Amino acid sequence: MRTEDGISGRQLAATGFVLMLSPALRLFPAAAAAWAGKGVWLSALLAFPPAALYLWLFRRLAEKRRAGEGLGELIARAAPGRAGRMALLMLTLWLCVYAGFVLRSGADRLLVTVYPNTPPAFFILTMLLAALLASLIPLRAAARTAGLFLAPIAPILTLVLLAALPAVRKGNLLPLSPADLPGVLGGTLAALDVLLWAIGAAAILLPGVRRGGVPYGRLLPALAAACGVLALLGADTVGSFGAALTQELSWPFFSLVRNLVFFRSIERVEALVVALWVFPDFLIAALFLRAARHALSLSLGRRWPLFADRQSASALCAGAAAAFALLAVPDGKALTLLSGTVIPGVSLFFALVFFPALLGLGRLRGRI
Amino acid sequence: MKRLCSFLIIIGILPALTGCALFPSKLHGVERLLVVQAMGVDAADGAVRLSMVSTADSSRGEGPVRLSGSGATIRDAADDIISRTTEEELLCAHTGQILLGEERARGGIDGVLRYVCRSREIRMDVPLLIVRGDSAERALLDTGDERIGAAEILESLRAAAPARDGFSPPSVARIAGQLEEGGCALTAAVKVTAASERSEDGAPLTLAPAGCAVIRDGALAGFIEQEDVAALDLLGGARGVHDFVVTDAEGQRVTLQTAPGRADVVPLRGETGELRGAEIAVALSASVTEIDGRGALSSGEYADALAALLEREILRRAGNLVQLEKTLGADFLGLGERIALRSSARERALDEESGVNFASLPLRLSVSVSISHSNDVRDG
Repeated sequence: MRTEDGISGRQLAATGFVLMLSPALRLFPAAAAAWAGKGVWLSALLAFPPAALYLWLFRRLAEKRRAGEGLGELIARAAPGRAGRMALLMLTLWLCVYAGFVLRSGADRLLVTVYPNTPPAFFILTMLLAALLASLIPLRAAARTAGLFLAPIAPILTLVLLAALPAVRKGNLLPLSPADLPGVLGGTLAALDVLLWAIGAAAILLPGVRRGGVPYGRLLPALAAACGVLALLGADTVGSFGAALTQELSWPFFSLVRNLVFFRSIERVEALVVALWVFPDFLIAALFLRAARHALSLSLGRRWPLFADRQSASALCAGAAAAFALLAVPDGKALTLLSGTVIPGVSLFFALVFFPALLGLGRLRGRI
Repeated sequence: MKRLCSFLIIIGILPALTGCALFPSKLHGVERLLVVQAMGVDAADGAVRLSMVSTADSSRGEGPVRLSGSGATIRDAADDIISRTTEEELLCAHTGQILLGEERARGGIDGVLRYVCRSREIRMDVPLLIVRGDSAERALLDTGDERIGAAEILESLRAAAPARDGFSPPSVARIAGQLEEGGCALTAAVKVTAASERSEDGAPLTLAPAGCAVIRDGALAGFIEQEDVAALDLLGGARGVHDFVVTDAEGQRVTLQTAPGRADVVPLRGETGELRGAEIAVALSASVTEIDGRGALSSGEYADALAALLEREILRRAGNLVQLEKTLGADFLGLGERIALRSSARERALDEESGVNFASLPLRLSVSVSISHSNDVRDG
C-alpha cells in the first residue's frame, strides 16, 4: 500500500522493526531476566496482546490527523497554548536526550566488543555528524533507508538466533509455575518498553504517511515478528547463560554471538554482527534529531524565528544530544543506571502516560 | 537496481566497521602470531601464575611454544609473559582449553570465570578443566615432547571424552551460569602422568582423564573418580555408550557395552505432597563385545546372569556417586532441576517453601539391563 507521500505501510513496519532492534539488545535480555528468570521467553510472547492494542489505538489516533500532520501537530492541537508548548518542549528535550543516549550507548557497545582503549567521543561525534546530515533528508528517504538496513540485518539476526538454539539448556527455561507469573509479567513490562517505544518512534514518520495509510494488517505481523525476536533472544541468552549470568553481562547477545561456530569452521563473527547494529542506532539518532527539531519549531518557532529555522534548530538539537552524550554519561556506571533504569522508565512514562494523557484529553475536548 | 546497489554498499561498509585492519600494512600475518591454544592458571603465593601453550607447527618443523609468567592478576601475568617472550604477538582468541591447578581451584574459580566472561578475546564457551593433584603449569609446560604439546593432548582427550565416558568438559559460560544460579557445577579433571607404563624418571609426561571435579560455592569441593564418570552419565540420562567389565561365574572376564537408554527421576512424595525422596530408574540394553573364553549367550540363564552382574556393577558405581553427593552437600546429579520438571506447580512451591536439600535427599536406585546381542559371534 503506497501512500501519496511515498511512505508505505511496509516501510513503516520495517522502520519500527529496525528501530526496535537497538533497545531490544540493550535492554531486553538482562531486564527481562531480572524479572522473569526462566520465563523470559514467555514474557516476550505475553507482550503481544497489549502491544497490539496500543498499536490499534495509535492507528486510530493517526486517522485523526490532517494531511501532513504528525505527532507534534496532534499534541499542539490537543493542548493549544502554553500547556501544549511546554509539552512539546518536554518532548524535544526527551528526543534530544534519547538521541544522545543512543550515541553514547552505541559507542559503548563498540568499545566493549570491538574497539578497546578508544575514546567514546570519536564514535559519538562521527555518528552525530552522520545522523545530523541524515536528519535533513526527506522522511520517505529515511523510511527507505530502514528497509535497506533491514535487508542484511533480518537474515543475519535470524541465522544467529537459530544457530544459538542448540546451546540452550532446557533447565534454564523450564519449568514455570503460576508462582512465576508476577515475575513473568514484570518481564512483559520490559518487552512492552521496547515495543511501545518502537511504535512511538516509528510514529515520527507519520507526516509522510497519508490518512488511512497506516494499515493495521501490515503492522500487526511486524509486531508479531518483533515479539518472536524478543522471545528467541530471551530464550537464547537465558537458555545459554542462565538468568543470573545474563544479568551480569553487559551485552548478553554479543557474548552469545562470540560463542557461535558455523559449519564447524566459521567463528568469531561478533565484530560483523556488532557492526550491523550501527545502522539501527544511526536511524534512531537521525529520526529523533529530526523529530526534536520539528517539535522545537512547533513549540517555540512562532515566537523565536531562530527555532523555526531548519538548520539552526537542527544544530541546537544536535548540540543538546552531543552535550548529553559527552557530559552526562561520564562512565560505565552512569551508563548502566541510564540504560537499565532511567531511560526505560522515562520511555514508559512517555508511552503510557504522556502521549495517552495529552491525546486523550484532546480527543475528549473534541480538538482532535 | 538502485536498491541492490544500496544493499551492496551497506554490505561493503560492514567490514570497515568491524575493527579488522583493512590495509595491508596493518594486517597481522598468521606466521607472525603465536596462537595460544591452551591456558593454565595457578595460585602462587597470593599471586597468579599463568601458563600458555601453542600447538606444534609441523609444516615448519617447529614444536609447541610453552610460556609462563606471574603477576598480581591474570592480566599482569599475561603482560609478564608478553614482556619476556620473543614472539611477535600473542593471539588468545583461539584458546581452546583453560586449565586450573588444584590449589587454585580449591581457593576459588570465580576470578578466572569472570576474567573469561569479561575478555574480548577468549570465548565464553571455552572448556575449563581442573588439573588433579598438580599445577596447571606442570600440565601445560611439562607434558608432551618436541613434536606435540599439551594443547594437542588436551584436544585428543576432549575429542575422545563423549565416547569414553559420556561427559564432555562444560564451558566457562555453563559453569559460571550454574554457579550464579547458586547451584554446583561439574567439570572434567585431568592428571599429569607418565606417557608409558615403562617410563622412568625423565621420560615424557602426558595428560590423562582423572574423573570429574565438583565445584560448589565457587570453589573445588571434590572429585568424582574416573571409574564412576560413566555412572554419572547413566544417572543423568544414559545418553552415552559405555564399556563395563564383569567376571562371570566361570571366572571369565566379559566386556559389556551399554547402548543409550533412559534414566527417569521419580519424586517420592508423602500424602500431603512433601518430598520424601526420589527414585532414579535406569533402563539399558547392553551387548557383549569381548569374552575371555566362550560364553553361552544362547542360554537365557547366562544372559540373565550377565545382566545381573552389570546391574550390580552400575549400582555400585552409582552408589559411590550418591555417597559423594551427600558427603560434599552438592547436588551435582541435578536432582533439584529434574524433580522440578517432574512435579506439579503446587509441589514445586511446596519444595521451595520447605527448602529441600536435594543433595541429602534419600535416593532409591534401580537399574534394569537386558543383554541384546553378542556382536556377530554366536557365543554358546
